[in-house]
Amino acid sequence: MERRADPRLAERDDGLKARSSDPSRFFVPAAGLRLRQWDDELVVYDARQARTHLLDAGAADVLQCLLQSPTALSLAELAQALLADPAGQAEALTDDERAGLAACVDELSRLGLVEPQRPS
Amino acid sequence: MRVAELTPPQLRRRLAGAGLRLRTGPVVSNVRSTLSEVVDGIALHYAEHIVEPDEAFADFHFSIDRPRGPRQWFKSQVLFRFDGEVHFNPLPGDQGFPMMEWGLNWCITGVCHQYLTLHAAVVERGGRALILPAPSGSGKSTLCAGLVFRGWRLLSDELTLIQPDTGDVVPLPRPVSLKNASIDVLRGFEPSARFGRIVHETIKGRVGHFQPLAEHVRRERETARPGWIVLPRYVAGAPARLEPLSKGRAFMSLIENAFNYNIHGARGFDILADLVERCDCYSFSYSSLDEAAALFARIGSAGPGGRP
Repeated sequence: MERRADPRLAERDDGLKARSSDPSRFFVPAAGLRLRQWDDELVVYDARQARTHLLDAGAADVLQCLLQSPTALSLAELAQALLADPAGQAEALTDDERAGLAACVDELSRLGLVEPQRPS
Repeated sequence: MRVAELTPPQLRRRLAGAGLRLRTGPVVSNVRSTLSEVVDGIALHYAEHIVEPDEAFADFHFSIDRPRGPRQWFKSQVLFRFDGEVHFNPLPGDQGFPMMEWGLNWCITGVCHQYLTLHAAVVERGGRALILPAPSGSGKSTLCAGLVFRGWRLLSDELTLIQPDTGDVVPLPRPVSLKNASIDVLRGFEPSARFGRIVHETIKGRVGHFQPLAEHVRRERETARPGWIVLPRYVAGAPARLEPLSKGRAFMSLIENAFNYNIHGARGFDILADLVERCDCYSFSYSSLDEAAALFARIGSAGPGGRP
């Protein structure tokens, strides 16, 4: 059983650019997650897979953002939601930041915490 | 009645006959054996434990005896039978008492799912439990052994039973098992420790058990509120060092050292998360038992939340 994951450790590869421009939207399956947050760490129990994960602050923010969103989000929308100031203004992401966010979502997807919703 | 109240012939007859209904904390085992090392081991190590009436319910029925056939006397062996069935390979003939202890651990971890069970030593002071989760070989039993001679009450040197409804720790005071150099370390640290027969060349090396203190056995119904989670690690030559551990890391360590977390499912997650929230969490490395005992004396005096 896989119990530990640190999406920060996800390595970049040549496919990241392609993934970061992928039109997929992402969501968190509604049922079966239990969360507990301590400081900047989040532990997550995924009842569907009977797996437990420890997420760092960045991955925790991404997961919480997707959880709170009523709809699936694209990477651009996710970045907007994560970075927006109170007035709703968000700075544009650099290529590196966009790649980092894509890698994080990719890793959360690999863990089964996040799922892509392909355009119909 | 306690084991010490039985005369040696009475104890031998019970173990050779229908069995001895031995209470260890919340569980009762019906133990049968004709082996002298098992009889002697029970007489010494379980002297203060309660003997339940013959008609009392027993959670486990097991025996430790010689196999039938030539292995009774030729390079003799011992077998642990649970409900009459053999679940383990036999061990060499003088390992009957350690085999009983390992067998009882197996029974508890495999059956007692009314608790969330951690592979952790646990001691108590001032009503608060100090939980020491760690795999074998990390020095947790040695540390536990030292602490029980310095003001901490033994709850268990091996299995921490968490009561799901309350989150409290249920005592399971039994003989403390030490291996190899740790036996001599504890003898030097506390000459009054009463060891039974030392068994050589086990799968874990040289193994010795020492008798739990009578007062600790007599308080086996007193649960304790969790106070500290400390991940111990023996490091040769290192000074005693206690470092704060994040609750997330402490939580994952508990899972790695849990026997039945999966069986409890989402409730297991809640039980362990609540446990972590109630505790101060540290990692601890040490080589000197004296230094370790002194450091934990300060922690025990300060209480959870206090500065060690």
